[in-house]
Amino acid sequence: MEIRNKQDVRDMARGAAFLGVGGGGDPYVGQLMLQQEVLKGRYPTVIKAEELADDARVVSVCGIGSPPVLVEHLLSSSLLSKLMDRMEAHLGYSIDALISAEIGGLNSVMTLGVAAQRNLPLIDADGMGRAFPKLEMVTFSVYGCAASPVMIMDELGNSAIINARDDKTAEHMSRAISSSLGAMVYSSLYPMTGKQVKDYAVHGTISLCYSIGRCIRESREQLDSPFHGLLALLDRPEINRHCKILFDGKIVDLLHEIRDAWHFGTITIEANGDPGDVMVVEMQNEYLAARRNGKTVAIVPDLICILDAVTAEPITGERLKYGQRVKVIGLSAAPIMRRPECLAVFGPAGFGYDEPFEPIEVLNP
Amino acid sequence: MQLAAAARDIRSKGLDAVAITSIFAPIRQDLEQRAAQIIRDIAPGVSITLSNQVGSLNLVERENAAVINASLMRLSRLVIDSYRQALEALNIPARLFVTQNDGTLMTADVAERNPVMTCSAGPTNSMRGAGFLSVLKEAVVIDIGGTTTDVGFLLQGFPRETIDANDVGGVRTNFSMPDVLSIGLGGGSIVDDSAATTDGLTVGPGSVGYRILQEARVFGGDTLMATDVAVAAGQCDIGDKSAVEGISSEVIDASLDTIHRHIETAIDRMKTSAKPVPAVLVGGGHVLISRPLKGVAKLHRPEHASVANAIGAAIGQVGARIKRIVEYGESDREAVIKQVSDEVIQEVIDAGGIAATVKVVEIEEMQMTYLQANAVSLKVRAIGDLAVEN
Repeated sequence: MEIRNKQDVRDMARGAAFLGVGGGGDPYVGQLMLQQEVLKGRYPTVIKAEELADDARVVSVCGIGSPPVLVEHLLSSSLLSKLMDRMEAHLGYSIDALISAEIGGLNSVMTLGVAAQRNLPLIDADGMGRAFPKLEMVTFSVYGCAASPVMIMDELGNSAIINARDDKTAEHMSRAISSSLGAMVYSSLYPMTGKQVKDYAVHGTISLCYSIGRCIRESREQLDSPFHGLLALLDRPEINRHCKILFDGKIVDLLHEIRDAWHFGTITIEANGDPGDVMVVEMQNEYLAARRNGKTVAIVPDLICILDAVTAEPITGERLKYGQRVKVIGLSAAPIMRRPECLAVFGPAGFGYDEPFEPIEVLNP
Repeated sequence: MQLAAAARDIRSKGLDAVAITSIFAPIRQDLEQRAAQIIRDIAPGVSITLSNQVGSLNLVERENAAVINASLMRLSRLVIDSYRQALEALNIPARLFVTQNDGTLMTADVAERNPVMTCSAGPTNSMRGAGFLSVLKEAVVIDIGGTTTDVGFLLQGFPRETIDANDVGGVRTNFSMPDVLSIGLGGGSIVDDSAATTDGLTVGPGSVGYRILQEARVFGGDTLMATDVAVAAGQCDIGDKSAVEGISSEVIDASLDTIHRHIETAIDRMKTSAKPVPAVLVGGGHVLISRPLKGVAKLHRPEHASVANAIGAAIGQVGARIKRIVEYGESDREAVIKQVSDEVIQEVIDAGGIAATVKVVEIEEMQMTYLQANAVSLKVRAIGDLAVEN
């Protein structure tokens, strides 16, 4: 895959909104940054993990904060470069490659921008294959790579270094720093080796993200239903990837509430022409569970995406509205994400659900 | 200091419009107001757009909307002044209202300061007028004008709005606009029959525009255009019929085929399913259509179809919207919503709405995630019937 022009950047951002499963921050801010690099002729290079040396030095970059604050703060192009300078100085070595911790939402597009700016390769992989609300919810952490040291910086150049005993604590500390700096900061974290990336990352997600965005655009241009295109791309049982259209209807109720500074919500969708047929999607920053007439049809870490019923444009949690016609799509999480040790951190139990994980292809045979 | 320097620069360059955008302006208007005062003190006479008056949360989109608005200021003053003069010249002592993108009205004074809110009101009016005339709540609306045809959708009596691309010429903005497909086909579209066979005949997108009254054959001109074909086919009686008697029936048939095909394609692109839908045909160019249209269940051609746009404007309601970030305490959520609702209702009344008819039609709450404070982005919208003085 190559990102060489504005259309490529938009395709990437659309894919990131899809894989953001409702959250992850608006990719638009990252899109502007990446676009600026591309227009200057600085194109990001995406490499496969196997191209890395085992002792290569890799870090992640990600934003930590509140999505509504994000859309009021432009990302200065020098900020992330300064952050990388400070991280390298602190680590005492230079970085060989970047990896996105989170493919969904802002972070993947932003990391592509940093890769272009610093002329560093970006690895075609991430730590979750979707978006999650907490710093420790990545495969890197599950398999023992520590988030610390975490370098944090805000747009004014204030910075902090977190050395936490565990990643859960790093999450609490970074959240506190973010709050005290106006609820939007940027971080460099998860220093890893090439070997660790090869063993523990979710692979191929950057190219998958781009393919999803491009597929939606191309299907529209060919006046074909974008959903046919998406299913052809994503429903591939032969590579253990499953995709289903779970529901088609109209949003009839939206309930939002804040508990412990997290955004909880319930989205109720009614089938077209059948008020008795109802889907409820539960969210905590991202969409976590979809239940049709009380029966679970998809649950985290499998992906639940809400798309415009006609254009297949992914709709993030903040942009959902009463009366919207939507389709709900379910996509299986990568196999690594479904291992017991991963499910313990970001499966149903990780979000307080007292129910086991069941794969989407089992729930919807 | 920097603002003062910018203001001096504006003065020395003789600029006449300024857009001011500050972060979180929808919550804190005072920063933009202070900046405006500094500019005004140094460069009096410039017209100033504050981002909080034209947009909501989302810095880039709001800033773009403010810049577009500032750029349109001079034009809007010219246009609104012309309307006022026209009313005066015609001795019509009525209050002047301007329609907004969402089908509601605002006073001329407000419109003059917020031109960006009127920029796609044209198609909205046509669609609202079509809904009013046909009494349909859900239908595809085909508005054939002189140069272009706009195809849009009515949902619950209001135009369907764009979902994704609130792009104006590639610039992302955050105002809602009707989802309309425009094609280059209208009463003034030029019919080119110079090809060897009628298969090569084209209608539009080239058009004579407003010169239709001079250049159409039926008006004594010598350009063959869509209206001439409609007259020749006996679909309408406009101008001098004898001027088009010489057009061959092959050319007439091929032109009508082409016109209908273009419209059918446009309808198909706007439809959300293959199912046939009711359609309403409006605009002065509605006479071009004489055959059943593919994909259309029933074609409505209401009386007064050619002035649907004006009717849509005339039935406009007065609307107002407040979007603000508020903090709910332990128990005062109801009180905060009530207070903002009262404010927005007052805005509608101030804009000319009849108090008894004003009602809140939309309350939207969006929690501000990751912040401990119980901050909520609250949007309240109210509309009411326009008070018409006798």
